[in-house]
Amino acid sequence: MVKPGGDNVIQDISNDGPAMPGRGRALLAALAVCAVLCVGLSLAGRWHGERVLDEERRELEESIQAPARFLSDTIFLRAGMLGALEGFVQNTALAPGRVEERFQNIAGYLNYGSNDVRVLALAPQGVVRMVFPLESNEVALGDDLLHDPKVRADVEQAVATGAVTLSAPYDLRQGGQGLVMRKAVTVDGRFWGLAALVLGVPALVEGTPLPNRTDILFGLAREGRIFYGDPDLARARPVVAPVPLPEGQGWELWAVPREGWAARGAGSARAFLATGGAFVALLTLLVYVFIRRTALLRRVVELTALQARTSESLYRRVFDSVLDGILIFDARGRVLSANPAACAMHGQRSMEGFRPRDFIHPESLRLFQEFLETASQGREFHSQGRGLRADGTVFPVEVRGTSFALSGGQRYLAVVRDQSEQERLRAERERFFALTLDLVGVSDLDKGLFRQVNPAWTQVLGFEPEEIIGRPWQEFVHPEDQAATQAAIREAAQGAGLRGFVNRWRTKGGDWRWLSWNAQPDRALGVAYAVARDVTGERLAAQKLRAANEELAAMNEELTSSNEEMAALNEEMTSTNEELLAEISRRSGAEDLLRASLAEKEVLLKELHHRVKNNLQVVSSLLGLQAGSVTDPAALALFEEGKNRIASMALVHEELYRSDDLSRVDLRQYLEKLARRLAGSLARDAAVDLALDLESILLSVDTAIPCGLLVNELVTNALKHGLAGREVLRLAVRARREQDRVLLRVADDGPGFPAHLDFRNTESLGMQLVVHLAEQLQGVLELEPGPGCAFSLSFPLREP
Amino acid sequence: MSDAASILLVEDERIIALEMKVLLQRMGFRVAASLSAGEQVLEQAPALCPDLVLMDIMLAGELDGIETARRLRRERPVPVIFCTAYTDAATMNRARDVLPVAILTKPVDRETLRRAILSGLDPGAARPQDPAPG
Repeated sequence: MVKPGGDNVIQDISNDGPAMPGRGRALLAALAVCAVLCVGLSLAGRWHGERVLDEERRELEESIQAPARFLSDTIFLRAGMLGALEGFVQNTALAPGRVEERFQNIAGYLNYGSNDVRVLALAPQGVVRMVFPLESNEVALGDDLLHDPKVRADVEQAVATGAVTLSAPYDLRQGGQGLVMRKAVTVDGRFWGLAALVLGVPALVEGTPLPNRTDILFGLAREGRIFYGDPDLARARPVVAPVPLPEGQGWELWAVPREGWAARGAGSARAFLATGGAFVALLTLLVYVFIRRTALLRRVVELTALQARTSESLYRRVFDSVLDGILIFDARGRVLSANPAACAMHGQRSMEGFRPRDFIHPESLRLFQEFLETASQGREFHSQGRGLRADGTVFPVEVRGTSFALSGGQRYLAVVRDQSEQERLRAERERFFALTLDLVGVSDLDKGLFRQVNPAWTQVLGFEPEEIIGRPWQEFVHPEDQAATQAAIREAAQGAGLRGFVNRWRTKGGDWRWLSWNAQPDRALGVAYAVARDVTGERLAAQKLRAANEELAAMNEELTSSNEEMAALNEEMTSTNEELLAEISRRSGAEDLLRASLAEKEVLLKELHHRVKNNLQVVSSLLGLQAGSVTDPAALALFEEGKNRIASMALVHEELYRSDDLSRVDLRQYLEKLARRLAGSLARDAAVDLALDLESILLSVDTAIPCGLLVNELVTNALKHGLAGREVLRLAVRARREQDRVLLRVADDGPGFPAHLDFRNTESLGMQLVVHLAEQLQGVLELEPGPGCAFSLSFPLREP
Repeated sequence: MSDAASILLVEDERIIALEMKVLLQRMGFRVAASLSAGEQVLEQAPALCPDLVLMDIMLAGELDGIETARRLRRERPVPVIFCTAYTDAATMNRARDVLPVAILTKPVDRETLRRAILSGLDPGAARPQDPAPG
């Protein structure tokens, strides 16, 4: 089996995962290079900055040399003016008043064109006598310089040296700074006086190119201290140019860039850093790309090697697991390699180094030569031959072969398939073909000519196979069946095949046999496979069956006619039945009507009982109303008795109304109600111990009303007489059925019936009613002996 | 008599109604009215304001005593005593559904009636005055 190693190879190549560490390493290396470069760049930047600054300073220093010289020259020039004044005095002093006379002219002449000379003065004997311009300087006239303590030192130096002296700058009265230059004037070797001039420093500076220099800040210093300009200039690392002055004195011109040194160098430093940064970035990127590329190349090389190994392994697996035998030969026909299938096929453990005759049947060796020739011409070889197993047995093979070039030279590849199984199957099929009892044949679809038939044809039809093969079916089929057969074959050829088609075939002896056909076309091969079975026997049997059936049909017809007669009879019966059903339905209707009528009557009867009871109630009420006007208690008692009698009758109708069949009263319920009502009505406040022992006995109205009235009288009597002088009266009412008689008993534990009286013959209406009602009931009434009073009645139960 | 409990009597049989009225008056109750149909009861009861209704079940109008009691009780909680000749189970069950004080069967015993009326009247309601002697 081939394991899916190929997929792994593809995955390895495409998967970025394993390459990740390489990328990380490359990035780290690039960052390290970047860091080193940054340090270098920083150092270089600093060095560069210093170089630029130095250059700047040098340039600025050079640029202020000329103004410094200019300033120096101007001051020397002004010192020269004092020399000129001295000359003027020496030339003119001999003529008295001449100096004073000409001073203004000379001074105006000397001072012409110079804005920086604020004052020119002459001080004969040290006292200021002449001043130019006189305007606004009059105050100086008369100053005795030799004796002025502020200037005395300067003046004495000037007298002592005879050279031009220069005072320190001081604030002028006219505004601004100024400095005074003095020179002692001698005439004929004798001290004459002093010549002096005052220079305005701002005007002096104005006269130089310095004010045009907008790019710098500058100042003038004397003995290391700024006296003109910004005093803070000293802290800004100024460049210095010397300004030489007369008598070996000197100033310094200090200057710094107006924007400061840093600003001057900044642009250059930015450009340097930008260029350097870009260079570092580029170099870092290059380093990263280089390392990454190297890593990737190494990976590709590894993967290629892996792929090669996997391909080889894959090929080896295919080679080992394929079911066909694969053999590789060299040009001489020796086996270089044989796969396990090839070895197994030939019964060998290994076949390397085998020569053709070791595994090819001698008859097929010629084919091997053909294989080598065909394959070496670059064509594919295909043939069938016979192979040899290790045990010497022969087996059929199918061989395909080709050649290919390898570094060592031409190689031949043969794929060998063992055909033993196919051979066996073919032989088996042919055996079945020969043995089957059915007629089996193969015919072409085109003309219907038989190509192959089995021996069964001879057994059934008598023809030898060669008498049938190559002949069309039309020669054998019955003329009457030709058309149907043609149609069936046409239909079968559409692809559906034939199932159970029957036609007649001629035998060699001239008889006809019935054959039932199954057939299936194979349009690709242009043939039809057909199987037929001799059904002549079945056919004859079927014919006989048909004849029998026809006979049966005739009998059936007879039966049918009999059936029809039966049906007529049945119809008659059905109509009779329907009449009967109608009758039943009619009767059922009548029954329903009867039931309805009965229900109606029940309602009416109920209503009737209710009415009777109501009417009795009205009668009772009438009596009651009438009693309303009576005041005599005895008379009132009579009314009350009457009302009770009516109520006892009404109670019968109430019970009837409540009973199920509306015609009979349950004596138990009736007497219980009656007794309790009477006890409640007549006993007043005295307690009556009522003992009822009543059986359930159904009585008709005719019996119930006299029975009720009788009990009414007996209970009334008991309550009326028995209670006299007593607190509690025990009153027992009993009703029992014994066979077809009812036994009634009303007893009390009162004083008893008066012994001297005959209850059958008294004046009491109550007792008279009792006796008469007992008679009406055809009962036997008895007074039981004391103690107490107990009447018992036995009367026959008449079923309604 | 003005303190006597007022009873509304409902009975379609006028003779019986008359006897009942006399009976009640003798007992010391005041008869607010004696009516014969349920419709009249529903119409007049609000004005009469009886303390108790004594009513037959079978009445003259469309409504029977039970239905009348049901509608009357919907308006005001007046105690009702049924007094009937009908004592079949279905009618009794229907009558019990409207929670009467008592269901009395005709003929009504005087003492039973008196006790039923007294138990129906509220404890604070006026007691019947003693009937006139004789």
